[in-house]
Amino acid sequence: MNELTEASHQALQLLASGDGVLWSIIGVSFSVSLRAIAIATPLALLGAFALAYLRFPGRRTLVTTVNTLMAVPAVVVGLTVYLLLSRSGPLGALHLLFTQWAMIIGQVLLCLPLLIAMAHAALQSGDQRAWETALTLGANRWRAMCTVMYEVRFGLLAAVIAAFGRIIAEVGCSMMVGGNILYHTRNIPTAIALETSKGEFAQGIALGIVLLAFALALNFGLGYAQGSGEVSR
Amino acid sequence: MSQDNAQPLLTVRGLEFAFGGRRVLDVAQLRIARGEAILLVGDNGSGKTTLLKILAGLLVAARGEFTCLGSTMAPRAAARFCRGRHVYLHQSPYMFDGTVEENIAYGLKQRGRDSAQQRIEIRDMLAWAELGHLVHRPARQLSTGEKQRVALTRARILAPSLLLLDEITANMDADSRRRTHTMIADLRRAGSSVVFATHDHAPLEALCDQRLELAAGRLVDAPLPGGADVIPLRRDGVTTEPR
Repeated sequence: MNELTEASHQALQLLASGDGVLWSIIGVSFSVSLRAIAIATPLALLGAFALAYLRFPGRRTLVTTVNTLMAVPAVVVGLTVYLLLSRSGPLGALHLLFTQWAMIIGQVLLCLPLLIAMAHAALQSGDQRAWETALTLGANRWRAMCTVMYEVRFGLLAAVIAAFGRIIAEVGCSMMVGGNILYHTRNIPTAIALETSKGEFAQGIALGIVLLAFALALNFGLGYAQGSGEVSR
Repeated sequence: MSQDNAQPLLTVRGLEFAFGGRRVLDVAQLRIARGEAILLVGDNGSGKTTLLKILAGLLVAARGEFTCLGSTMAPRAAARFCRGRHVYLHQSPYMFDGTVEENIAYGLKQRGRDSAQQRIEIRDMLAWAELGHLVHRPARQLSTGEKQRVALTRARILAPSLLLLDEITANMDADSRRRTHTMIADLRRAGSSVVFATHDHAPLEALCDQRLELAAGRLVDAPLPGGADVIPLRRDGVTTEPR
C-alpha cells in the first residue's frame, strides 16, 4: 500500500514538473492516434454509409466481415503490419517499420472495423426519410449524405470516441511495429508496459492518469453535446 | 395557350418497377399537364408511394420512357432530372434537426441562395403559411398538422413544377386539413402540378382535375364522380370539407 502511495505521489510530481520524457511520450501517443483517427474516420463513414444506403451484391457478407474484424486482437494486426512492412515484406521498400507511420497504419487497421460497424449501426437507426427529403429538396447525393450524417451525429461521434479509445490504449500493435523507441515511437501504453516490467511504477501511473483524464474529458464532452440524454418528446 | 404551356409537364410510357424480384408497378402511360391536379387512389400496397417516388426521382424505374418538358429520357436520367424539380412529401413529413426556419431554408441553401435572400423569401413564405409564430421553434416539436404545413412551405419556396403528396392529410384534424387544402390550392395557382396519393379520396376530389386508380401496380382511369373529368377550383381556393 505504501509503495502505491509513494508511486502515485511521484507520478503527480512528474506530471507537475513538466518532465520532458513523460510529455514526449504523451505527445507521441496523441500525435499518432489523432492522425490515425483522422485518416480512418472519413474512410469508415463512407464505408458505413455505403453499407447502410447502397444495395450491392455481397453487402450482407461485408457487414458480417466488418463485425467479425472487430474481434481481431491488436497483436494480430501488429503481426500483419509487421510482415507487410518488414524488409522482406511487400511494403518493405517504404522503410516504414519502427516509425510513427507504421504505428498509424496499424492503428488505422485496428479502429476501422469498429468505426465502420458503430457508424453503420448509427446510420441504420436513422430515418430513411432524411435521405429522401434531402434529395427531393434538391441536395445532391454528397450533400444528402452529409445531411443524413448530421442527423445521426451523436451516434457517429460516439463511434469515433470509442475507436479513439481503442487505439490510444492499445499496446500490442504499437509495440510490434513501432519498436517503443523513446522520443519517436514510445507512446503511453508501450511506456506503461515497459516501466511496469522494470518495476518503475511512477511514470506508468502518471501516464495512466493522463489516459484516464482524457477518457473522462471525452465522455463528458460527448455527454454535453448530446444534451440531457432524455428521449425527445 | 402558348406552345410551352400546351406541352405536358411529364409523360411516362411503359413504366415498370420491380422489388425483390416481384413486379410492383406496370404503368402503360401517365401524362401530367402543367398546373394539373391528379388524385391517385388505390388500396394499401397498390404501388402509390412507389409511383410517386419514381416521379420524384427518388427511385429509378427498371424500364420506361420519360418525356420531361419535351425531352425524352431513360429512367436513370429522368430520375436525375426530376430530383429537386419534383418535390415529394411523405405521409409523415421528416423534419431536420433544427428550427422551422432552418428547415424551410434547406432547399434554398442547396440552390446557393445567400442568407439575406433566404431570410426575405422565408419571411414571405411563413406569412403565407401562417407559421410566422413558429419560426424559431424546433421543427420536431410541432404537431403533425404544423409539420405538414412546414413541409408544404419548405416545398413551395422552391417553386416545384410538380408536387407529389403521399397521404399528407391522413392524420390531420379538420382544421389542419382545411388549412392544408388551402395551401395546396395556392400552390396550384402558383403553377405547380400536384399528384395526391390517397385511399381516402372523398375530401380531395374537389381539388383535382382527374382521378387515376392503381390496382395491383396497374394504372386505370377512374373518372371523378358526376361524370366530370375536370372540376374547377373555387376562386378562393377553399375546398369542400370531407363529404
